[in-house]
Order: sequence, then C-alpha cells, then structure tokens
Amino acid sequence: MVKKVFRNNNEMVKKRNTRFALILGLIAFSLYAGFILSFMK
Amino acid sequence: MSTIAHADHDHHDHKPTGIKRWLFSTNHKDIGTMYLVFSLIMFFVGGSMAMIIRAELFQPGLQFVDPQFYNSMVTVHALVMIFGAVMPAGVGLANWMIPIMIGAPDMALPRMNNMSFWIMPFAFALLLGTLFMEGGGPASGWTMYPPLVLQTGKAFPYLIFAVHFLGISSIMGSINIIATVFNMRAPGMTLMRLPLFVWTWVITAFLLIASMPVLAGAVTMLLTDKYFGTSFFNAAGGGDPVLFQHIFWFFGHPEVYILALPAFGIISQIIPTFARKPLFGYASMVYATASIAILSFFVWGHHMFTVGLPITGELFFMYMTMLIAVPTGVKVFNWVATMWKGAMTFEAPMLFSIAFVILFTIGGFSGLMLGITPVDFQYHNTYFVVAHFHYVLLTGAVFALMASVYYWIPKWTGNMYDEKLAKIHFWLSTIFANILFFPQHFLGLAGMPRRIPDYSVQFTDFNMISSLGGFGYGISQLLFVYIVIKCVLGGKKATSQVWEGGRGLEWTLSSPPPYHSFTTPPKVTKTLMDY
Repeated sequence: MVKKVFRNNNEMVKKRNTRFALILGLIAFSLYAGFILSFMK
Repeated sequence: MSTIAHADHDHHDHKPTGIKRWLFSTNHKDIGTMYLVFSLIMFFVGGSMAMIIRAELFQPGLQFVDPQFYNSMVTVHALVMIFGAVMPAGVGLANWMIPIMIGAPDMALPRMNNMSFWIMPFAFALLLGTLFMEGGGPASGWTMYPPLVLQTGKAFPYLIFAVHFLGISSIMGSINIIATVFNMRAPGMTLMRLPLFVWTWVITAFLLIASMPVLAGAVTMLLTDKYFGTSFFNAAGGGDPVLFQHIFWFFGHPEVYILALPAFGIISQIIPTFARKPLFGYASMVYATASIAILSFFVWGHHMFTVGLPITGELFFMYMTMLIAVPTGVKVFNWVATMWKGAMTFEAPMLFSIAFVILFTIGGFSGLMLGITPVDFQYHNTYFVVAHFHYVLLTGAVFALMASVYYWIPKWTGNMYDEKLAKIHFWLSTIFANILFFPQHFLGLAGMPRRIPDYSVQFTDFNMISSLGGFGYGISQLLFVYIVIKCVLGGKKATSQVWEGGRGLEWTLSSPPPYHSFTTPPKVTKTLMDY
C-alpha cells in the first residue's frame, strides 16, 4: 500500500492526508462537544 | 547494516529567504527549528519564574514577592514549562526527525503545520500578558481548580483562551504526525520497522487527540460558569467542583505521558547507537508504549485520592496505577539490557540518556509511593509530590530533550558540538538537578505543603540547599545555549553518519540534510535496527 501511494504520488497522497485530517479533527471536536453536552442537565 | 537503496537528495536546494522563510514556511525542518527555538525561549521564561520561586523559598518569611504574585509564578511556571517548553520541544523534534526517519519528503499537511506553530506565540502572548494585568496573572495552580480559579481577575478569559489555542495547536500537530506516519512512509518502512521515536510519537499523537479536547471542554465549562451563568462546577447551582477535578485529570494523566513518551522514544534511539547494539526487545517496547498510553486513561483518580472517592474507586485507581509500572518496567529493563555487553562510549547524548534511565526511575518509584492510596493521604499536596514530578519531567523529559539536541544537532547544523563543554553541561545539570530536587522529598515527608511562599523554620535547611541547586541548575543552562550557538555558527564538520553506531534513514542524508529531502522515496529493504 505504501509503495502504491508513492508511485501514484501526489494527488492520491494529498487526498488521503486530507481525509485523515478531517476524520481525526472530527473525532477531536466530537470529544470536545460531547464532553460538554454530557454534563449539561 | 541496513540496506537502503537510493536515498535520493534534491540538489536543487531552493530555499526562501528573509522573514518570509519563517512566517510562511511549510518546510518541516524550518518549522521544527522554530518549535525548538520557541521551546528554548520558553524554557528560560519558565526557568526565570522558577528562580523567583526558589529565591522566595531560600529563607522562611516573605522576602521578594507578595503571595499573590508568588502563586502566579507557580501557576505560570507550570503552564509555560508544560505547554511552552516540553511539548513544543517534542513537536519540534517530531517535525525535524519524523519525515527524515521514515523517508517522507515533508509532513503530510505542511500548511497546517505552519498554523500549528504560529498559534503558539499568540497563545503565550495572551498567557504571559496576564502577568501585567490588573489583579495579576492566574494564581490557582496549573490545574485551574474551581472555585479558586473563578476568583482570577481580568486574567481569567485570557488564560482560558490561551489554553484553547494551545489545545488546537497540539491537536493539529498530532493530526499531522498521524497522517504523516500512516500515509507517507517510504516503501519497505513497515510499521514494525519504524524507529522507536516515531512509534512513541504516533502513540503520543493519539493520546493528544483523545485528551486535549477534554481539557478544552473543561475550560470552556469554566468560562461559561464564570460569564454565562452555568453551574457545571458551582455547588450553589447544582453543580460539583469535584467534577472539574475528574475531567481535568482525565486529561492530566495522559498529559504526563504526552510529555514522557517522546522522551522514551529519544532514549530508545540513543542507547542502541552508543551501545552499538540493536535495541533489546523492539516489539515489546512498542507494545509497552501502547499499554502505557491506554492505561493512562484509567488512573486519573490517583491525583484525587483525598477528595473522598468511594473505597472501590480508590482501590481501582490504586491497582491501575500499580499496573502502569509493568510496561514502564519493561522499558527500563530493555534499555538496561541494550547496554548490557554493549561496546559503549559515553558522549553527551549517552550520558544524558543514562542519567535519564536512573533519575526517571527514581521519579517513577516515588510515583508508585504516591499511587498507594493510604500513603498518599500523607504525601498529598506536599513537596514530595513536587520532587516526584520534577524527577519525571526535568531529569526525565528535559534530560531526554537535552540528549536529543546533542544527538541530532550535528545532523541539523552539519557541525559537531563542543563535546568537552557538553560533558561539563551534563555534570553540572545532573549534580544541580539532584541538589535541587532530592531534598524536596525530605521536605514533603516532613510535611511542607506545596504552593506556599512562606514556611515553618524547621524546613529552612533543605529549602536553602534546594534553592542553591536551583540557581546552579539555572546558570548551567546558559552553558547549553552557548554550546548550541557555537555549534550553529561553526565547528568540526559532521559526516552524514555522525555517530558510528547510528542506524536509520536520517543518517543516510548529508549533514545538514538538503532543504528538500527524500523528494523521491528511498527504498528500505531490510530492518533499520540491523547491526
């Protein structure tokens, strides 16, 4: 997989990087909002 | 020797110049350098606050500062050292080293990388600016416990926003590291061939993503409690101040490992190099790191044994804390086993690493003592705690960072540092750090509370010794700055290998490496740990 990414290089890698950033960012934000919401009465 | 086919170097080494190079940089090496320089500056800002603290505690009675300012110093010293010195230093090293260790051309998200860095000076401008405000800086301790923290004056919203910004910066940095390691590795660089430093950083990045939002949530709730009429932590409105402690330490304990794991990674790189042997138990090191990270989310209660937890809760947190000693013990065993029968030499990085193994273990043992519930009732909130976490963070994390600078600075600058001066720096640091912190164990056992500007006369002698150690340690670090500047400006030229025993992709690049390295990926065909 790693080899393939490098051969096809830029665009595919960029897309995967952006997808990673979005997913991880979403997880972080959900944790933040979830924590606050869970303590609301 | 590792077999690395075609480690390509870009010879068209175009480099932007002037202020734009740094302001708009997307180059991992430049951003890494900025992180490291920022961290060094913050190390001295936080250090100067420590000097004020130790000067005030040199004798009983109030000498130099009023108690409110003293408490501000204690609070801001901790925030600066944790979020401004140790964490950014780790991120700086990650920026510099991860791409060249895994054969990537840069970090996965270079623009986000730039933003992660440039948020930090603004965050610290907010935080440090509070010291000059009416009512002074935050003085509640870095833990920001309500209701005390809600008494902070105008500094309060600045403190909260500074913490938010630092959290955002750390999360973006972590996303970048994870994306880089998972997507940008060179062909043949399988996960179980990753250098330990990279492994520890990936795990740290996951810890950051899981724990930083929790801190951000907690401080947002503080903000709304103070300004928007909510009662998350206000007992009068149906809230619970102890809830904040639970949430804070759910972040706070993983944070300890966020500071410590990259240090473990550094030591795991350096010891094999200078023992000229592969790291003992590579796989067990990876699993131990992951175990420590997972367990760190289940031990937060050991910071609050005295708040009145149910006995089952206290026992749970005590046993979980004891459990963390197992993977940590595996690591210490592996470092010692790596040195066993190695052809060791004792250059500055190795000296700092050996000191780390010994002194971090002392900090670990006092941590175990604090983790025993009934015993903690005596030690809680005393100088024993201060001694414990400084052994972990100063002679642990900071010593590892010093080791890493001496280890990699020839690669970064292309010049060897002054070994003789570095050894003097090592001995001064080690001796003074112990004079500074070891007596604090005795002060704590004798009952001296932490976070106080004045104390009973029976604590005077140990406090004087501790302060002398503190001043000595502080002055010794000026030597470190001199050694670094001298090395940046010139010195004996470093080879690309730098250290005879160094293994890994970073040593295949020239010293200093080209501005754009691995623009075509190297091919890693055999384990990099091979000797």
